[in-house]
Amino acid sequence: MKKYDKILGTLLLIFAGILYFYSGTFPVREGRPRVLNAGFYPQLLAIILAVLAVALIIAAFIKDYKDKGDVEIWKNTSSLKLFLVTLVMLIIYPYLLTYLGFATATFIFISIMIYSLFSKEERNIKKLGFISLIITIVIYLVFNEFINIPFPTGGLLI
Amino acid sequence: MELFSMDIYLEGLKYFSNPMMFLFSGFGVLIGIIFGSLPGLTATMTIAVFISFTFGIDATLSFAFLLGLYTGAVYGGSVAAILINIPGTPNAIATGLDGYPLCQKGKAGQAIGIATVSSAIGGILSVFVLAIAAPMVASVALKFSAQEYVGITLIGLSIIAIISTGSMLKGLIGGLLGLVIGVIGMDPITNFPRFLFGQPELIEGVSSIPVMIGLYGISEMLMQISEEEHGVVIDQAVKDIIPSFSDIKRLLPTITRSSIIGVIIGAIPAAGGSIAALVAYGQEKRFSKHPELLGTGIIDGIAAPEAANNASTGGALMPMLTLGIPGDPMTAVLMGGLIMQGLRPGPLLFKQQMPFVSSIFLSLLLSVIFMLVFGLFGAKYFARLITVKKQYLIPSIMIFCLVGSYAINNSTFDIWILLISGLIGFFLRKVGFSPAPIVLGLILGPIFESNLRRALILADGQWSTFVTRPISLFFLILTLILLFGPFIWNLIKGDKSTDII
Repeated sequence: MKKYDKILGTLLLIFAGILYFYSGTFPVREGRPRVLNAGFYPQLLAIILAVLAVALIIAAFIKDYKDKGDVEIWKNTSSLKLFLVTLVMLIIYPYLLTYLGFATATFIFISIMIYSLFSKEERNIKKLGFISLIITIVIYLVFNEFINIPFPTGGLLI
Repeated sequence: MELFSMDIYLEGLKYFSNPMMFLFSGFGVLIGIIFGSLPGLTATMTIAVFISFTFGIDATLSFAFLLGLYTGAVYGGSVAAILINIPGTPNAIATGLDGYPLCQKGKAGQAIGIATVSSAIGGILSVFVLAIAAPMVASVALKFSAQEYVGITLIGLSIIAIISTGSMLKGLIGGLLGLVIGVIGMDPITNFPRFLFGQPELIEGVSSIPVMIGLYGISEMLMQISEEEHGVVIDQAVKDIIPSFSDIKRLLPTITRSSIIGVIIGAIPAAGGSIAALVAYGQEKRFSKHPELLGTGIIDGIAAPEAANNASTGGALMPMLTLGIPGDPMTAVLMGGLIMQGLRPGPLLFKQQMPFVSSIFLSLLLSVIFMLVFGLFGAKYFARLITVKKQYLIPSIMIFCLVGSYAINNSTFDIWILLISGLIGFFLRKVGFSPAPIVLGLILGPIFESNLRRALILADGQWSTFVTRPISLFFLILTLILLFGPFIWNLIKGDKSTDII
């Protein structure tokens, strides 16, 4: 944890600095209490955040003497791969939604995700495709017909 | 309006002439139980994911549904705890201590039955306490002004920083990050647009719902993807659920005692159901005639935490409704739902919207009754759901999150807010942060800023205004005690083992 704490503390400190100086560019009313300025409150938060960030860094150094070992963000490379696939799918979903419509976008998302989540030995394309289709139909009926959310129709008109 | 007359409770009844109230409540409880009993889907996440679909629905109906979700999900967590020893929600951690051993003895049905009845009794008691005490608290809180609200907000943020998982320092940083996100949008005093980055959608501020769905929903799913898979198998039929009258009669003192513990602990801002359940279980060890049997699978050990965690639901709603300070992450999300409906929780809600408030009490009561019925007659079906493969669950939940964010304004902009929050939430969780303080900071941020600056403007920029008013001073001292008390106490005792960092 401590390695990440130091990195995070430094990032937060830089962020607090940017927040402080950027808020300083907001318009100021001369001769009036500072609390009236738009930048007053963000600057206050930036100062407190900077203090806490420094405390986090110091704490990480103190803990260096106490404990060893760090957390792993990903268990192994396959979980990292899976994470990246998920991330890509999440990012392209809004585009799929806009250009292909809700039903198609959801089917593509669900089927690729389910396929990726199963291990190689368990992948039965026909079965997974069928289940993806069922899930998509249920989701489509719930959101499109029952809750009636106005989705973009997309190129395929469904 | 007179806050202490019977009429205030009757005013909410008129909404129930609409049969949709029953439908929404029952539907909410059903979905809540289903989601709560699926391991890995917490009650907070369930409410966060579904809240956006209540947008545009009448406030009383949407809260009938949301409170149903809340009650159902808190209860549903116990089903998974009993059957597979994985608490469906943190509130059910203590339930597994005796529930799972009882299940191993082949008495899963009995365990679920006792959990259901205890939950219902705890839940009903808490509704009554809430309905009686909340208007009183609200009438006191009506006298508070901006200075006091600054103090109350600080107390809320401090407690959630202390209680949430991870170190207190990280809890505080999380709360502060939430406050910083709350700055985005128009300055409440000068109307100057702050940190819009060229996005006109941000003028009203970052909408808190997609942030909450991202922090609880998407980030939780990403967490599960980054970890190993665990398939679950249940190899026993859940039967004989309806408990015997003699069992209930024998457990009544335990249930009553634990319910009272639950209500009180729930009402402490940020303490919440999981702590209430653990404390009640601990008390059961002290009061029980056979404390040595606890943990081996006796029904007393299920009744105590279940009564307490459901009793905490009413308690947790109290500070949220009366002061605008949520009692736990779940009520923080519910508060987001109120704000989305254009309602501002706090004492004024009781003064101006009392019929709505009393409909909340009645909806909560109704949802407990639905929970009892569904639990006793549907548990064997819910039990089967636990075996649904995560490979199917994760993509479906993600679609719920994506669609939920989209549905608030029918715009993909909120999907981007969702994804950014989900990714940030994932990395923050990995390095030991809890999402709860961030959500609380975000929700309390705009109210905190307005009160802080209003108080300072009235006092000509003098910070001393916060210490010259006695109640405000009391709140500030309480905040300091909360933050530094344990640390100083250990320093005096010479014990350095517990650290605040």
